[in-house]
Amino acid sequence: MTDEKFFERLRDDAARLRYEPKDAFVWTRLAARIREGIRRPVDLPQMLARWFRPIAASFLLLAAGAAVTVSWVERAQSAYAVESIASHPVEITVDGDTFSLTE
Amino acid sequence: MSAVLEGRAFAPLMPAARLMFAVQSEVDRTPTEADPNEQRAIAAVKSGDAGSYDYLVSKYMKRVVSIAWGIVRNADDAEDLAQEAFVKAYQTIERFKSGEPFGPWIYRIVTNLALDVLKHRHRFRHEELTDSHPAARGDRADLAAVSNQLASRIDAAIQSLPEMQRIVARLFLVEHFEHAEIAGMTQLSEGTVRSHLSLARAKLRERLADLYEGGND
Repeated sequence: MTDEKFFERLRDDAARLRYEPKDAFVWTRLAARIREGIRRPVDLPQMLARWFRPIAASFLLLAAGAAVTVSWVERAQSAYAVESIASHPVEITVDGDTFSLTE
Repeated sequence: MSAVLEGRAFAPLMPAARLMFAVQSEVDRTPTEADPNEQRAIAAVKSGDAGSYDYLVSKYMKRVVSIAWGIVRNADDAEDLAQEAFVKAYQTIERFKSGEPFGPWIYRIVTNLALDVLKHRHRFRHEELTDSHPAARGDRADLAAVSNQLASRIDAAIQSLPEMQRIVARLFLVEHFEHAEIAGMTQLSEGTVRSHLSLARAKLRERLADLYEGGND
């Protein structure tokens, strides 16, 4: 028997392992529990959670955007500072001798 | 909203639902097809008619419970999970895309909830000790089929598989879901599902060799 055939037959036989209580009371009770569950008004923590998630996600997005912007600005500023130092040679005079930091 | 919920919403469910179970027990095993009644029920629920949710509950309840039971192997937990899944689906139905079948969505919700229960059990050692041997528990007796020796052997063989192989194998073999459906429910890739099934098949063939070797194929 091939693997495929084996699996096919196994699948046919395994179908009887589905869990299906024959007692109608089980299904009636579950349906009633679901109705009860959806009828229950939303409590405070759930309401807060519903509001909190989108607000937290927005703040997270804003924070990530701000972090990226700040790091970009800092990088641009430090590049500007290096260029600025390089283009304005610093000279120090000690005992009449002048030393330049650029060369 | 509450007037809708308390009024005509739930009154006609009981006899109708019981009849529906009988009619749909086979129907809801087939792959989900476009069901105009289902689409109407979803649209009605979205517009605030909670009573229309009964149609979806009665159509999918049995399969949802069976999926949950297959993962957690406990009748009470399966019922709790089914309830939680339906309530969660109802509360988030606004996010549900109109025109899509409801089945895959509710199956995914219940599968995720059931997998969370398993993770929770693993986290607590004492629970794991009692729940990792389902055959020793009374819940297994809920399966009418285990009185049949063949079904009992198959059940034991599936249960002996490593966890994800067991879950995937059960969804494929017992619940008759296809690879893509299982991937959607378990949030695994289709390739991973196929891989789990391939490993499971090899082990099951080895363990059930004596049951099928006598065939003419």
